[in-house]
Amino acid sequence: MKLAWFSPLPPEQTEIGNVTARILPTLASRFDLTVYTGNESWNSSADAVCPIKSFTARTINWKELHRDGLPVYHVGNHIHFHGEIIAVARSCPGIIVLHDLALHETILNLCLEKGGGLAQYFDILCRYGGPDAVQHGQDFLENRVVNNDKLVMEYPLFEYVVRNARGVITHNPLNVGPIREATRAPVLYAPLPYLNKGDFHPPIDRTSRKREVYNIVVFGFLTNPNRRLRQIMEAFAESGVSDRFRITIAGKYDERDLRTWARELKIKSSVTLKGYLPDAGLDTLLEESDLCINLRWPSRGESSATQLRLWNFSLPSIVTRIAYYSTLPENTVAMVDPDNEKPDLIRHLQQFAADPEAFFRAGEAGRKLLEEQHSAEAFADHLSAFLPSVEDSRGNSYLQSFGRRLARDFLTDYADPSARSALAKRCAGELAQWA
Amino acid sequence: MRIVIVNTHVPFVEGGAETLARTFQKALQAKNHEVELVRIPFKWYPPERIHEHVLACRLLDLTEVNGVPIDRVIGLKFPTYHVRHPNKVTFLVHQHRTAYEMWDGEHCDISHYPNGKAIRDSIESIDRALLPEAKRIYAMSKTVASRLETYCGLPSTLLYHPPENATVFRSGPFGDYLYFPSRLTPVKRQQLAMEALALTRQPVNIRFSGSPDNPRHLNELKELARKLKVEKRVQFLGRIPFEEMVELYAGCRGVLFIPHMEDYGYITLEGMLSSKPVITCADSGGPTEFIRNEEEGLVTDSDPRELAKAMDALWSSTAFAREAGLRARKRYEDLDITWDHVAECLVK
Repeated sequence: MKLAWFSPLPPEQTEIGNVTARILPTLASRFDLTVYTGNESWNSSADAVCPIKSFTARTINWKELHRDGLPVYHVGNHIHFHGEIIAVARSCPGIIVLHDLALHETILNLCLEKGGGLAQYFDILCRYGGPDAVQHGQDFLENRVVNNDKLVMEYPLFEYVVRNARGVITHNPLNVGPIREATRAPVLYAPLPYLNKGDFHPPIDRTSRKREVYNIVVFGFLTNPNRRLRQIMEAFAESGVSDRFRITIAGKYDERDLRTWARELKIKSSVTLKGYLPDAGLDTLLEESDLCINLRWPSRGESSATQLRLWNFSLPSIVTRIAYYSTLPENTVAMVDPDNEKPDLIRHLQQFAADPEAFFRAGEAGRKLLEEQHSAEAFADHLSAFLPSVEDSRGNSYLQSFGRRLARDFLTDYADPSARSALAKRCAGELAQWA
Repeated sequence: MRIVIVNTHVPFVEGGAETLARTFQKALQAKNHEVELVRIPFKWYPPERIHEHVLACRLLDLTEVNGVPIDRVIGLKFPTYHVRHPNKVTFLVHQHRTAYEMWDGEHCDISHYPNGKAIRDSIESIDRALLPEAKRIYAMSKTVASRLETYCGLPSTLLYHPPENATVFRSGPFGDYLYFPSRLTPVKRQQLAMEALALTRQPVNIRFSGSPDNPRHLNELKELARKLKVEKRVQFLGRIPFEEMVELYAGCRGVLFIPHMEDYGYITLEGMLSSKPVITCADSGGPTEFIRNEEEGLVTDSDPRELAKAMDALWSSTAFAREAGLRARKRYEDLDITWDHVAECLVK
């Protein structure tokens, strides 16, 4: 089957692009694939796998796109990487791989930068959230509310993107329900693919490690308070077993804050700051570490490539029991409750100090899950099984937009509500027979 | 029987389907039926219009007039064959071809639109869902039947019909021109004929008759003739009276009819009735149901060089032209293509 795969690609710094690049060989071996990317350039190795085309919504050749097959649009929450993809997806129905339900800010930016401005934003907000949503949106934009998390989570606006979709794929099983409410298109939960089967790191046996001091790692974009760095450091300081651990922090963070906290909490000698590490350096760090603390609170619900990266190195982890992380099997991670965060963290650190092997086994179980569910091959299997249902409903996607247009452009002309209602029913009855 | 034939109507455009509807009406009237031809306007661009027209057809009530029932509705073309009627028979002339085999071709308009694929899929879905409402489906050619089967999985019965005024066509001398009667429009490929003409070795001439769908296209063809330096070997006669057309058929060396995937093509039949050989292309569709290579004419690839060879062959052998023309006439008669038979099938 021919697929037109819309995704950013490396060297753009986005995990969605990284995943596409990694799994491309498997996808290309299973499907007749053409990649459409907003990148102006990409790593040349991708060219050897399948045709790569650079596109913008304004210049795309629609006829060529139709020839290249069913579009598969990767939609995440960053306008730079996904704005053009959303614009094309709205015009040319295809499968949406919805990496994030919380698209509110992306849609807002899309309206402001490429669309109809605030009027369009409020129109969308009203359509999917009602008048209350518009009020909340105005409050936020006029600085009456400082934190927009509530607005974003309450009105995620993913409906705007999936409205014309022919199918929707999510990597988070919790998202299936809300998506089904927003579209009649078939919906698939398929675990986030991470690597081709042959590319997994060899399993690491940590059970043979007998260390006096174990290495904890915290990494990623840590400037967002939802990564709970301060809380982690407090729990570490109060655990009573801090002498059994060393914490290494890598990625993007506020160094001054971290140094201040470490001094205040008297754990300065146990904390190492590594800063940004290139991929290879980070891989080495994960390989040498014994435990990762990978918290999110609050979470916007997206599935986590970070978690899969840990499992690739059989690395045990502590996560927050929230959103996507709450769906992870209990035997693969240690969880902390958001309402009982510090005590749970302390408990896990103490348990690790007492019985590290139990945690190592969780890391191995995670690694097994990664191989079973998160390989490119497993994803390709899911996609293959899903495509027939998308094909079966292919006659429907236009009828839905036609029905909406009919209501908007024709039926509103009828001043008499009873005549309008009768005609609307007649038309709806007709359209129901067309597919 | 009170019968309504429903057909599309594109104002100011007259083609084979319009002729068929009119002739068919007369044929049924000759059988003492009361027959109305209802023509429903159709505009197919932007492609969003297509579904509006389908809906318009579906909302029409053709079951009765003034309390008197209409006994039968016969639908001919998309979307008019989707008119509702409890006793509907479809005589399939055209589906919306750009949603089918023309989708990938250069003449497809829908595929240039972002939602083109969705609209195409929807048209196919509508045909699949609604065409079986008809009591019976007849297809006017194998090409039409095959499309219906291939894309919609629906069977139909083949039913050939004669061109208008079939009895008037006659044979005449084998003159010094090939006759190419057709609307001037890219899908009929007058351009290909001129490109081939430029490559012929014989002093072949072509007379084109028919009006352009768009006047700009005529200018483009004339410009091409100048560019190819064949302007003195082609004539654009425009739309001509029927009698003049019969004369041109009767006096030509052969008929040139090379459309891309024509569903039927009266020109083929008119050439055969005039006992003239027909040059056509392997991808011309309907004409190839009647013309076999070196039997009733010549069938070539749609390539200027190949077509030029066929033109030269016909030009250099009047004997072959005469014999092939006679075989063409005989084949027409053997196929029993009559309105009597058509009327009988559609009314029974």
